Amino acid sequence: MKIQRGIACLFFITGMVACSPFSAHYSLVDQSLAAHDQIGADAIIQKEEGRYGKNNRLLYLMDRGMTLSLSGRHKESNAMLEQANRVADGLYTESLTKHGLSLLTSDTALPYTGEDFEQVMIHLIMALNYAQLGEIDEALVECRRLDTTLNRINDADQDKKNGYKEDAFARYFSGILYEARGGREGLNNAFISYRKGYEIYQDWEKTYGTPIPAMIAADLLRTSEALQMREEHEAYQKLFPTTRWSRIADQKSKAEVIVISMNGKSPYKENVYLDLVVNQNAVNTILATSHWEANVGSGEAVFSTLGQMVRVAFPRYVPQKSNTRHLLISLSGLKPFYGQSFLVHDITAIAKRSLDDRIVRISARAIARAALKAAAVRKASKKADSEISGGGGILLGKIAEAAVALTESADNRSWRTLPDQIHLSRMVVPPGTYKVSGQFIGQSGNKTIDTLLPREVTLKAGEKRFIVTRTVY
Amino acid sequence: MKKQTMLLLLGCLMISGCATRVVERLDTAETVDLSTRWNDTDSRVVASEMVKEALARPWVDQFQQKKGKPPMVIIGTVLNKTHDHIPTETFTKDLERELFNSGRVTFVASKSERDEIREERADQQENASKDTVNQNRNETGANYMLKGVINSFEEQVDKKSYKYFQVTLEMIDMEKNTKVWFGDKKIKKLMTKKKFGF
Repeated sequence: MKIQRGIACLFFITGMVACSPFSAHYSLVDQSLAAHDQIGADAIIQKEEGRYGKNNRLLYLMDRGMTLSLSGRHKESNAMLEQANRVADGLYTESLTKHGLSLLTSDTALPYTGEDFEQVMIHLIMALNYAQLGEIDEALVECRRLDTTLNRINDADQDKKNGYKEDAFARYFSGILYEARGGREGLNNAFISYRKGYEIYQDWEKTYGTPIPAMIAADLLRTSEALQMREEHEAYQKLFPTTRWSRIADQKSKAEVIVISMNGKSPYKENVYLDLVVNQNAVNTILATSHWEANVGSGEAVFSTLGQMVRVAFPRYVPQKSNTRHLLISLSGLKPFYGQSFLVHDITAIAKRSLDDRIVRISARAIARAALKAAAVRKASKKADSEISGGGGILLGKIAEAAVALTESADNRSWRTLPDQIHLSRMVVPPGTYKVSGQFIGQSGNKTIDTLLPREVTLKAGEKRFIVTRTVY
Repeated sequence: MKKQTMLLLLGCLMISGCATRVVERLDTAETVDLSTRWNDTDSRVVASEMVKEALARPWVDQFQQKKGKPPMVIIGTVLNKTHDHIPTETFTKDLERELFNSGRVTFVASKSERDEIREERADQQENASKDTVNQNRNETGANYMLKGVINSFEEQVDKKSYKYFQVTLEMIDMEKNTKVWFGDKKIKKLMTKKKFGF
């Protein structure tokens, strides 16, 4: 009975570490997207639903939401993303649970809660879906939810100096939707969103190297003038003296085509291993304090030349940078119009920075967890040794130690169907029927093998038409 | 050492068992300040106080004496010049309710409401019976328009966040373009963030 208990204890400890989440299907999804087979990409995700499992439910819903959206099944995509939002919201309110359990198990054994920017992306993709359906009021509901989510992130992370606290593109895109809604209140909210977007882009330029999109100057001048905000309008005129812009009254007889291009593949996370010799006594003392996370991360007393070796795994983003520099768009009608897309959202840069901001906290938890597991293995091993004769206990203990070290894994989960970057183009044209097509241009100025598949659109005066495209290159 | 480890493990398990959701219904008049942002209490209190102030001025009685009927008011735009999205429609509805409940003024429908009604009336001209159809060009014009601006200023230093709102409203005589009342209301909010361990 005692022997069984000792062995069971060792197996329980090795069982604490969870396997890394599967990711093989993502290369198949990328292949389908490269061939413009969005329906095929969606079918791959759907087929894998069971393998995502309960703890990765949010990932499944987000991945499915994305591939359904790319397949043109916007309503189904929104139903999926609405579920994702509920799951993320539910998990957010249970954050204390996460902290507690993550010390006993691996982070991958816990439900995936999503990065802050991924939670914002849920609402952004939903807003894009509604915009493509022409349901502007519904898209604006997502803008208001975006606002609430960003306010929550901002309030929670006030201590961070450069972390992801705001989203310039989410604000800017909200501005476009509010302007599309029209009316004085819509215009007022559009101005608030454009101004917020502009202010955040100033930060993003420094933090992520994302340039401020040139078109935002015209948006600020146009909306501040229409709202008769003299003081603000004059300030923007001084700030953007060479910007060409047209009054809203002059645009009423025109239509607008807004092309959003999702380029490349989002970064994925991999393990970085570190073998540390830790002083078990120091770790235990620190763990008993209220600020253990900061202390484990920085406390030199924890690391010692004398102590127990533990293997710790940390997550690290591996970028999959897009080769696309921009998209050249042409509208062929009675008169041709040409446009070019600009970078508005660098997901890779944001993801990397978000992880960097949290790495001390993640590392502290990983070290604490590894130390706890090592202590438990040592204790169980001693117990098994006293109960099993002929050195069997020692052998079992060594196997358990090796198993803990070999299977140590960081939380490598992320929303893999997101792109590397988002680009946007706005073209104001006379109403009429146009054939919209485009060519993706690579970093060296050459044409890539991907194009915006041609489509015909008929535009009415005052209408804003949203087109979303995806290239994995 | 053993005791500390066990306590920690127990603590983790206890925390994991405690996470539940509780939904409480609150009195709508209760003030709930979770941040320094504009909220429902600000909207309600500012509307109530400013309408009281506006009606205490002589323009209402002067109109009543001269025309023998209460003035007809229309709510115009309350421009949001702050850095946050504010549901200004909720605020203008609060203003409308306060003015209406005072019983001293009457209202005409706002621009967006009028557009919808005109569309319905146009439909009536085609489809409603002669007995029930409402006639075009018989609308009542407003005597005064209430409009305003919400401004804000904010500052954040360390764990303190300070926000200042200024709501300015004015009542404009629609015939003479003169302002018969001008009022403002200021709100200051300070939030101090406390840091907890674990």
